[in-house]
Amino acid sequence: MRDKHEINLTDWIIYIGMIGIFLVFTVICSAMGKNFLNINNIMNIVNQASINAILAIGASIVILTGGIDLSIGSVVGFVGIFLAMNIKDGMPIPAAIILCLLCGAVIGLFNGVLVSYGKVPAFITTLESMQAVRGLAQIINEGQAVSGFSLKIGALMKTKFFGVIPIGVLYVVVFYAIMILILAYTKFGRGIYALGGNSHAARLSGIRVKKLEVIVYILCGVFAAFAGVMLLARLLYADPSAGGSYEMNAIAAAVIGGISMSGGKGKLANTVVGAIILATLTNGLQIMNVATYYQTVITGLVVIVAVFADKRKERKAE
Amino acid sequence: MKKKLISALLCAAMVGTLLVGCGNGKDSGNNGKADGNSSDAAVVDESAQVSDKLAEEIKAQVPDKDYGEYTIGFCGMTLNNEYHIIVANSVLQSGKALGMKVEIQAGAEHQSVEEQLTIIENFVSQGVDGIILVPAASEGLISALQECKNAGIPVINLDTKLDGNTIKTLGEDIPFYGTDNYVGGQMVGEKVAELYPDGCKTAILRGVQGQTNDDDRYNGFLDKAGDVVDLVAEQHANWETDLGYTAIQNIIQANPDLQVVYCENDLMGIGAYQAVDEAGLTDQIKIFSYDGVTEGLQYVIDEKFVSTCAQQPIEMGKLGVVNMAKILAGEKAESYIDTGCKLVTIDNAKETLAETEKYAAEISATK
Repeated sequence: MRDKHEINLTDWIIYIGMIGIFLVFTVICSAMGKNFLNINNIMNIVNQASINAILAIGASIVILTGGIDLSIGSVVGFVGIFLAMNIKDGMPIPAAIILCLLCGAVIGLFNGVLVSYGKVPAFITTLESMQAVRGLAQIINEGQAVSGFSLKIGALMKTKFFGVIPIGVLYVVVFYAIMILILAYTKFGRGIYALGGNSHAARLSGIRVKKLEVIVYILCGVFAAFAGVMLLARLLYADPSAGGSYEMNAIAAAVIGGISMSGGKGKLANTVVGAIILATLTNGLQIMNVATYYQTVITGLVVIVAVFADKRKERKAE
Repeated sequence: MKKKLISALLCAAMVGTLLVGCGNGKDSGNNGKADGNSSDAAVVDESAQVSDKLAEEIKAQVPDKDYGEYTIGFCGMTLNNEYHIIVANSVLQSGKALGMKVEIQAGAEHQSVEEQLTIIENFVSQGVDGIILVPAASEGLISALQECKNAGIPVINLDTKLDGNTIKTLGEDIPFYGTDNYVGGQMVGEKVAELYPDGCKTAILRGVQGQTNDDDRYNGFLDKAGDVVDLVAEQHANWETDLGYTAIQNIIQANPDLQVVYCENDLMGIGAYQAVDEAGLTDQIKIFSYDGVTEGLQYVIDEKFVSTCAQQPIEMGKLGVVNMAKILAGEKAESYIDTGCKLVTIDNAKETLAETEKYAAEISATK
């Protein structure tokens, strides 16, 4: 009984952390005469977090299987250029987007097959595909950025509901809802946890481990491609170096949210909180006009604290 | 049903592989060959011919000699943006105009000093006759520059100046041709002071901390506009569009009465504009940018930027090759040339864009 109570508390720790961060910023900012806690800024934060949150879905499910995907930031850059070029060449926007999502799926398939059937460590596979895909992003338009395409694509990120809620929030809510349900209620979802917890046991219990792993990487690639579409719609400018180090932000969101790097443990719902915490830190510190490099230090410290809390939780569970 | 779905996905994947897969293999091959090499397919087309006009122009400036036996190495900062690609292309085409062999290499990112170190060391061991360098940072390259000095390989510095201490440690003067970014920053500062004589709430988006370009563009701006502007925020957005977007969105939240944004490069400026546009504040907040890449000039024409500061990357590349040829012919190279920069506003944006495109056509290879 007592045990159960403690686990409940640690489950809530991320929400407590988030509220704590909000309180600290609200107090400091209002002392400085800046407006932090209002609906407009909260929408700003969620909007800024949205791309990372979508990437972090893929990062989370891959980490849950005990793997990692470092190529997602490069996929964002590649998709941005490819999509912009296709739209510029007159391809209808929906078709161009579907083609990009397929590219994400192909890159995911490539990663997944190498990791599961090829038995190449996920870190190595995706580190190399990270570089290869970044190279592709440079090659397809000879290293040049793309502009001068139809700006209609902007509606995918710049639309606001009721004048306040950015459409990015909708993507986050919808995709998280779907994936949380899949993880909780389908054989596929339970398989992901089983694979990450103990792949041998998972195989013995009749789960088709390899196929499942490939599908997880494909999903991760598709989410990364969608994040690339979102980034292009936001900036309306495609730069081959876009999305650099996005994979790190996505992994950080997952880790802050308590997804265990050793796989098999963690809740996807908390990943979105991790992404929001990261965006809140940048937002609050920039509103306070804190020098940029202190921001990276503070963000780094938060991730370390989160991992520490997670490890403690694991030890307690043992 | 499920099987059908998966097989449909696989078919789609195969089609996609036709588009993507081949490139994939080619690229990983390149990666294995040498550091940072993956990008040079984007620039180098060995089979391409040099335009006659460029060949004439370059030949007229160098001592009469057969340069066919020489190989020069170009070590760029990076090849992941338009500006640096133009510098590299200019060096390549100018060198080929003289019949030289030109090797193009560059780091993967703006800060890839270690890669540059390797590239220069490789050039030295290959025995190139001269090296043209756009350094990512100064201190980290001293040992490689020392090797060049010992091997008697001349080095010419373009675009970003090696700092004074490095030159002193090396004990040898390295010719430099590039823009004085301090002067460029002053031009922007003057423009802001002229448009807002009574002051304005200003935010500055800066580049990578510690690069001389960042400091010069910042200090030059404040030198001319420091007395006028009320600097309410400054953030390092590391020359990146997305970081510029987020930073300006947050700065507007903190300072809803912001009037001026000075961005130290066009990429951050583009991000800043998107944030201002989304906030519906394009009438209140004006953006002053820097660099003059094609999209930056287009933003000035569309009145999304008040101004940008255009540099002369093509001129830098030509000067580098011309002076390298002089050194190889036994003459003395110019030790310093300011290639200049100009403030581009709505008045001269169209002609500047046309000029840039003309130049770009000149250095791009003709088949």
